[in-house]
Amino acid sequence: MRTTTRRAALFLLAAIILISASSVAFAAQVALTSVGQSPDAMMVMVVLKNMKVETDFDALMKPEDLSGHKVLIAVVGGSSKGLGAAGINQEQERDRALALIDKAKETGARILVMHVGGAGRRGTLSDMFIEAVVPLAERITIVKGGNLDGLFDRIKGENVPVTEVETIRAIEEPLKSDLSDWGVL
Amino acid sequence: MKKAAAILLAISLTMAAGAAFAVEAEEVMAKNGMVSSAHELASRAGVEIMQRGGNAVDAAIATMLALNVVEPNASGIGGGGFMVIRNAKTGEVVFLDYRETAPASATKDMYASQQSKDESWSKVGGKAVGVPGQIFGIFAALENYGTMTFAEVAVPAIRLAEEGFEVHPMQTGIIADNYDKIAKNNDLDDLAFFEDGLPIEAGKILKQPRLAEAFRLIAEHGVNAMTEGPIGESVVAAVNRAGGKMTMGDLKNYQVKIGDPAYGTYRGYHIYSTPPASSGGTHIVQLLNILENFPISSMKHNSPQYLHTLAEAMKLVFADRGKYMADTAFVDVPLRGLTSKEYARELARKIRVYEVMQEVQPGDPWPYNGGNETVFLGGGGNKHISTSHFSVVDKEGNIVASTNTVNYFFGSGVFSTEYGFVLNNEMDDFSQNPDSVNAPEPGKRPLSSMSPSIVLDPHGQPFMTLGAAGAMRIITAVTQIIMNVIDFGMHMDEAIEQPRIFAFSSGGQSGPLRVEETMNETTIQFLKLRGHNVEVQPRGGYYGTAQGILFIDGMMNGGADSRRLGVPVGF
Repeated sequence: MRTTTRRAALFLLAAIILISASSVAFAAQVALTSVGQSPDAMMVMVVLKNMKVETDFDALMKPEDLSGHKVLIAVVGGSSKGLGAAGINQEQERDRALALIDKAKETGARILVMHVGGAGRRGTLSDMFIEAVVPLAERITIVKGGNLDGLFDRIKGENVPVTEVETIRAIEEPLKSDLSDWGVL
Repeated sequence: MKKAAAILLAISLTMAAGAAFAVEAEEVMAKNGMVSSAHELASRAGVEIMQRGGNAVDAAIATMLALNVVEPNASGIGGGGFMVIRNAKTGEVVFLDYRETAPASATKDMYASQQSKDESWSKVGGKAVGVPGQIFGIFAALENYGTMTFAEVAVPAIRLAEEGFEVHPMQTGIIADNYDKIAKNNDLDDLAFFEDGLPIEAGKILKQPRLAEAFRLIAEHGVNAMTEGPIGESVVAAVNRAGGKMTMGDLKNYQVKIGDPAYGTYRGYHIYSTPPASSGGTHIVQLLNILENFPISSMKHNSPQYLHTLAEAMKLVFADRGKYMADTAFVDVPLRGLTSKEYARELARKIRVYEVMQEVQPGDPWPYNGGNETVFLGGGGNKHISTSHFSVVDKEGNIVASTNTVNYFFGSGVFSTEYGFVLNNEMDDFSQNPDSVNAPEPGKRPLSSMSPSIVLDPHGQPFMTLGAAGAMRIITAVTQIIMNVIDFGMHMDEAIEQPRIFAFSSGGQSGPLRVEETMNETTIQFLKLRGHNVEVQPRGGYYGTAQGILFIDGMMNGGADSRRLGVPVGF
């Protein structure tokens, strides 16, 4: 009896440790990262915070940081200043993003790619990141001006919906819809 | 046969190259006064003061304060600048230096550590902030050369700050671009540029009542508001909160320098610009001196031959800048040598018509200076786009050229949250190498390229005033604009809007030749054929954003750069 109780107590303790450990690792259902190190991902973070969506945000998120997240939001936009501050070059950043998306697919997380910087966040550097990650997106949200040349439509996967909004504040509605469809909200 | 074809190709390229670039220039003419600044509302603020009876200096301060309101990312009372003033009555041209200084806590090795480099101490946060000099410069200008009080000239800026102005999409973009450093150093709810934590949207009205309050306090207490009052206390608190070390003593000890400008001539025209702590004026004179040895006006504008000569001369100048230039209060700089015509002739002889210099060693200006010392500047040039230039003329012929900055857009990212203005990151203009003559030291001014300039005609009459923003490209932008006017007879805006080049050298090696993409394509091909390592870049602020006013037949002809939101306003 005593042994059974002890075993039960140990099992309970192990379960508690496991649950609390996993509650640290799975603190949020949404993972958010930058692809290109522009500050745009931080602004998406602010919108998510205003929506009261708990989010794990790391501009330099690595594949091993993904665990149990239901959604990966990749905010694409290149900044040479941001890359410099992070101490990485554009190839390293592209490779990190691709590895992260691979891991997200492996773990069953849904992939939302956002471009919120408008026309000002296009150009050689940003386009390189766009061309790398947009074909891997399941849904795409763009702030007006970012897709004037139709680049996103040309390179996205078949049947992948593209939502275009007027301003960064207006990403809240499509975010709500996507996160709701994917069981976060 | 092959040779004949090659010659034919070269001839046809030569003919096609240098074809005039169709710029969208706007002719703005006025008779009684004019301000050309990087924002229309700031130009209007200056004109308003002249219409109320103020002179060019009064109008300049009104423009400067208004720029703090409508272009808060680029300049303001958290920064510093330079001003060149020409007094119409006496003909005297003076230079005011209210550049930021290193605080007393500065040491030569303060940015030498790997941790400093990794965490960008010289660029972001409290350690990046130099002692702001603009308020001191404003009072030095008004008290010595103006006719109005601060309270009078601050009226348009206070109104703009309280009533607000419409945010331009470019401004929303600039706020977004600098989002991370501002968010890192401030509570965004405290700043007028953000709503719900996001950059204020284009088209909205931006009101800055805290900045208006700062101007009112300065109007009431003068520089004491900075040296012993609440504005200074808010600056010191913000710097120290963000990891820096500044005291009220740093503000009390700040000194404006008033002295002679850098001076030279170009084809008989008199050039007045900035002496150290800016390298700008000296090197503009040096570059023009070198180019004076070539028949520029007989070359086609922006032709391969012209651009080759210009680029080679730029490389020689930047080689000298890297070796000799620093704050003359701390270091002997061969200013007379660098601006000597004889020395320029020696440098011009290094330029070959069909050869592109790959190795570019500094020259030796000391024999032309009467001395024999050498110094080491260290550190390369920077690439950021920032700063704001404006020019003012009044009907008496008083002229002000003034360039102001917080260094990078939104400076250090640290705000005086109580009064809503950003603090500079001018410490980044020091070298991080402790052995450099441009290493930080208490009270020292970091090296600048700002070059507010005044040009008088060969008879000593007002001819042009101009300047630019754009770090090291200020030197090359201002020089190209001066030559566009003097050698190629262009009007002000036409001269400003032309495509530009930038070439430099560093560490004994030539850098690439950077060319704006609006340059004639055949010219670009021809420069490549000649052996230049050409990098074509989008037209934009990288190449400098300039404002200027030209005198034509007794009228003022204004120009302002479409690479920014510049607008000249006259009456």
